[in-house]
Amino acid sequence: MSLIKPEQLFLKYSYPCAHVLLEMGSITESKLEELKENVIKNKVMLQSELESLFPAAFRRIKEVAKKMNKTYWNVDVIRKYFLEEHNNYIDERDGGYADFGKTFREFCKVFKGTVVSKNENMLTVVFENQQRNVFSDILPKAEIGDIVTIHQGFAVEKFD
Amino acid sequence: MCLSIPGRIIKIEDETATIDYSGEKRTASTALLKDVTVGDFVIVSAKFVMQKVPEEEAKKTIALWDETDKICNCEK
Repeated sequence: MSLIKPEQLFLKYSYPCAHVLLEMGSITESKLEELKENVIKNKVMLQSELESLFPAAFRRIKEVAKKMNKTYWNVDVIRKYFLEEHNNYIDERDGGYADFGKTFREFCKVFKGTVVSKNENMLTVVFENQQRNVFSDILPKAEIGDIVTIHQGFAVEKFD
Repeated sequence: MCLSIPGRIIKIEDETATIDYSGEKRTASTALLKDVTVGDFVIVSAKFVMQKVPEEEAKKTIALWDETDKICNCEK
């Protein structure tokens, strides 16, 4: 996990949001397919392309980096953003989150939970007294008992 | 039309739900969330029904949305 590049880590966590971008009409179906292929193959995308697709996430990551006194395009900063700060931004109704209902805001948060069942490309993850079925496309190696993060309808990263 | 806004299930056939968004109809799979019935308000992501939304909250969100005609954008 320590060898992951910032572009790869960023794409893993932001890919679930690309489905929202598609519905908003800001990306095409073929761009979503390309992102899916990139995330599955762990391709290193251009930082500039990621920034143009996800400008709000970049803005927030830069804010987090400033607080940490670090340069922003860094795996530690990106992980701290998605694991610790992202949900606070949602609770503060930052940017576009201001317009979302409560259930959708909760759905947009990143949670850490335990895989309790696995069926083809679907995982059931238990977190904070809740349960959600998610896709394992980004994390195909997830097994029952693993501690994983989830973002929207996807399992993202495995933790020891 | 914005998928961050709840839609109401008007039909379920096998594992395909038809969902009404203030008149616009879309379909989504119920494979990830089987415990849904006609009349439920739900959130859809990646063409899958992901989450039920309590009726009161759903109606409030939809009304707010219709009233303000907001732009659907989480990346701003």
